[in-house]
Amino acid sequence: MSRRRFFTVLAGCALSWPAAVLGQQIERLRNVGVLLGLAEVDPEINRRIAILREALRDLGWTDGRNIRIHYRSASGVQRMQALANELVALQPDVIVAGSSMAVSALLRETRTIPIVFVTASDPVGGGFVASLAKPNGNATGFTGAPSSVGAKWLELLQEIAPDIKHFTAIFNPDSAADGGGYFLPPLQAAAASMSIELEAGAVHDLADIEGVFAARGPAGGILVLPDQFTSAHRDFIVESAARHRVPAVYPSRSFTEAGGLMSYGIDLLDLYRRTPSYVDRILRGARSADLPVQLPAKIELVINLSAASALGLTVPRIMLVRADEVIQ
Amino acid sequence: MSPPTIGSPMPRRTLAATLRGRLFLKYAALFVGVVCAALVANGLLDTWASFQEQNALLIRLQSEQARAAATRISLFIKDIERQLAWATQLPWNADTLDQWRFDAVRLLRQVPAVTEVAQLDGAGREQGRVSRFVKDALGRRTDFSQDEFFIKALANKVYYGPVRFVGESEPYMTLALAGVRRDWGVSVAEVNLKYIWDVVSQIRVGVHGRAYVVDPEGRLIAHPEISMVLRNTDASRLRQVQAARAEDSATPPEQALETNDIEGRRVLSVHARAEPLGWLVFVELPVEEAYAPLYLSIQRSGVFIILALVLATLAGLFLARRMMIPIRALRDGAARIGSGDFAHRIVIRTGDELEALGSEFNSMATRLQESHATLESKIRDRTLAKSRLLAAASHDLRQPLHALGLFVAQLRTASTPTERSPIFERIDTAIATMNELFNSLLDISRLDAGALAPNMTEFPIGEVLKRVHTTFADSARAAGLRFRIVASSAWVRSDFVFLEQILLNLVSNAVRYTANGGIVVGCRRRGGQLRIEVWDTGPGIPEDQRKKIFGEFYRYGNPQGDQTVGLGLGLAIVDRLCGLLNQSVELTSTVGRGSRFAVSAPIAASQRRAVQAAPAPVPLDVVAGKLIAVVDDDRLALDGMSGLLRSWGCRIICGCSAAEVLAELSGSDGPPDLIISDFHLSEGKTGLEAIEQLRATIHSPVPAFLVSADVSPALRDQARACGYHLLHKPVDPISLRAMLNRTLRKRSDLAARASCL
Repeated sequence: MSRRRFFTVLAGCALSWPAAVLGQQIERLRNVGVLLGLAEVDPEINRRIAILREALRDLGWTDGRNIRIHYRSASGVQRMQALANELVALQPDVIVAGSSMAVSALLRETRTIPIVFVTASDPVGGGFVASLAKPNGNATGFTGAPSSVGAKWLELLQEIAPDIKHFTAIFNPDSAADGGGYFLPPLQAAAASMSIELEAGAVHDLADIEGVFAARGPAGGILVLPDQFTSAHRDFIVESAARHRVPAVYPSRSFTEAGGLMSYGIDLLDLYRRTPSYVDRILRGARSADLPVQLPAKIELVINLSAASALGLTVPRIMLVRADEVIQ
Repeated sequence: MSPPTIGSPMPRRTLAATLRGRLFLKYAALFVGVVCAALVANGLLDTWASFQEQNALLIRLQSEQARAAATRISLFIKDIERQLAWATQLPWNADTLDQWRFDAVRLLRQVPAVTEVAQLDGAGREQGRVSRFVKDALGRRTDFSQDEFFIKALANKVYYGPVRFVGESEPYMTLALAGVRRDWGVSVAEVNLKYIWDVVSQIRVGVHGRAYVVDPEGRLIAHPEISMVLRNTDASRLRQVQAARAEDSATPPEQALETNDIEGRRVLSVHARAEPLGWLVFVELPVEEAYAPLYLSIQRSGVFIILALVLATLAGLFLARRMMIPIRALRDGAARIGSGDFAHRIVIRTGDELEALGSEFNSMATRLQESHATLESKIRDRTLAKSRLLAAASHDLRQPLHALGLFVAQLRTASTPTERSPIFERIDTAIATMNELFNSLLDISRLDAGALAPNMTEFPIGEVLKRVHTTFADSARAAGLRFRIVASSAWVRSDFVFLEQILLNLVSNAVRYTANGGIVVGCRRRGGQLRIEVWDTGPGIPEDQRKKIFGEFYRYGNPQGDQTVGLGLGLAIVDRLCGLLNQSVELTSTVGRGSRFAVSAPIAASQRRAVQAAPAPVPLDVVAGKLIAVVDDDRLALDGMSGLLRSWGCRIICGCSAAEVLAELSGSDGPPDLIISDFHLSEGKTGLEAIEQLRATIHSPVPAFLVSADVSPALRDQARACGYHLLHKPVDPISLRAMLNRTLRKRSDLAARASCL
């Protein structure tokens, strides 16, 4: 009798093992939403999504196995809001926002779903977080370049084209950080200290951009502020700058790669690689309110030599040394 | 089964029942116990060893990680230092500004962690600043000469600033390096410590382990939970931090502390020091995770031990049962043999000591069987012999009884003394013959019953020889035989009475069977033994008769059973007595010439010249005139005794019981001098009681002795215990007289002594 019982117990143990193992494997499929601020047909979208996907896989989240990535992208405000609504309706576990505008749109839709912004110039000013160290809300992420970088832009333009004394800063008040109020004041202060003139150039459409470039001409310089709008229209801006032979400094390398003279700003793709670390933390149970907003570790200078020579400018040696990348 | 009474041994059946099954359990328990003990010991040792190994391994691993992280941090900082040093090699003057700016920009390019580089001249004024985030400044000449970093850098060559947070969430550190000479100034770099964070957060410690960095003051400066760092957590309370800060930086220990971490979990903590900053890198693993494989191993062992226990129990039961089979066979077999079935044989075929034991039991059973059979046949023979003895005795008794009857009848008709006296003589002879027969029978039966035990003493053989001579001198002379005793001064160690009896019988036979010639009794020393020989010139005994003559009632040369030649018991008595003395009777004989009987006795080791061991010296006759009280419930015996004693001149008071005697005593003058009592009286009383009663009533310890027809040794012991002699019935007159004298003499001795006082 005791023998029989013993064997039953053994069999029970043996049978329960596969069940335990199976149980481990069947996990809940988590949903990750991504909202980008690029034009819907922009090939950059795929590049960025690919980077996100790969970085997530390195952290153990494979698209299709334990997560499902839902991405949307729009450059217009209303369209973006609609897409934000769509994403929130899916009730994802976390949403990645590609720009400040995306964050604003998402925050209008939800205050509970964790949002990780890849870059936002002024999260505190934009109301996304209570403070950089303690967001205290459902949004956290990485900031863009600090506002002091504006002075560096002026510095760079001055270095490459020492004769120019008149500059315009282009931005779209609808989409720029604080409607431009984040970068402009420090810029103007810096300009004053450098005894140069700086204008604020608010643009709402391509015609406005064209107008600004035309107005400035080769005798002036253009600063393109970090802005979803300007990023979306970078090709046009670059082309316009070339046509009007205006030296310009851009906030990200995508401009320089498109033909812009130079850019001094954060490595956005690197941020796309770093954002998944926060997504991973949130998926593993961290609260977005506890994750501090991270400042950029790297600001890179990219110079396009052909654009420089087209404008008839010689790049000083020190700038070449300083440059993180030089495009021919 | 009735409960056993207190003091009595437990009945065999309950004992066996109580013990049943215990050996089986013992074997099974022993087996299981040994196996389990071995397994448990093994398991424990294993576990302990695994624990030690696991621990050591973990600690080593963690130490490696900690050291690696610490090294990386050190290298990181040292690299920056080196780069910074390279950029500020030259003494400062106004011309070098552009060159410096170039070098600084290149530094920024090469060291991503540095976000700002500034150069102060020897006086502490800022000459140039190059930054990533803010506008460069050249020749600003801000005075930093009082700032800590400047002073300390000049003093120690290098200054590592405290960790501070820019914009609340970015960790920065100021690194200041002094030039080779004072006038070369100090270079300052702002280092973004996020790069170190990456190093630390990439350390994988198990699944739930952590690595973190603490500055020399105990503040947390890097941790996978960034928020903890930003909260400015003070880790100095932690035991491991205190221990690490306490020790000196020279020896990196490879010990682990089991302690609590910042979040309060129990962890295994190892640390390493990152020089030159003095930061402490801690690598910690939760204890459950650390010991998880150990727990698993223990569980495994546990399961295995349980399995093995079950198996061992089953095996133990099985083996014990197998071992029990032969033992049970032995037990059952022994029980059967013990209860009388001697024919039962135990069958065991295990091929070992148990089989040998079984065969021993069997041979024991065989021997038991044989001895049982032998005993039974001996008993049969003995009973047969006894009945034969009894038959012969009764046959031989009838003759003199018959004669006695005839003589008494004759006596009635004889009227004159001349007619009566021959008849009286014949009656005496008949009585004598009957007495003799009874004595011999008594002796034999006493000898057979083991009632006699030799009382070894040392005495001169001359005494025995003298008495023998005295006894037979007359009868030998009457028969016309020469009777000589050769004197001897030897002392022997033997029983006086037995030896006397033996010699009396031998000489009696010699006298009886020798028609003419003589009898000689002499002694010869042979080694340590004295051989006493009885020579006669009788007809001799042929070879084939020599054994038979020692048998009971065997009379050589008298197949008709002639009374005049004795009863044929003498040699039988001699044979038994010799047996009791551990000696043998030697017989040498030549037919027609004579025979020689010899018996040996060991010569006494020492000769005591003083006291003779012989009992009973020749008594003076003191019986005449004494008052004797006789108690016997047998009227006939009572009359006979009284008559005899009266014929010796005694006065008699007799009765069937003590009461009767007492009644008669009141009428007499004075107390009796002696009491003779039969042992078994009527109404269950014993002679002892009667004597005591009489003594009590008379208020004087009158000497007494007992007579009895009961020959059992128990009776004799009882009498002896109470201090009385015992004479066996029928009492021969000589013995009676001797006893009377002895007993009365004691009294007179005592009286004489009393009167002397």
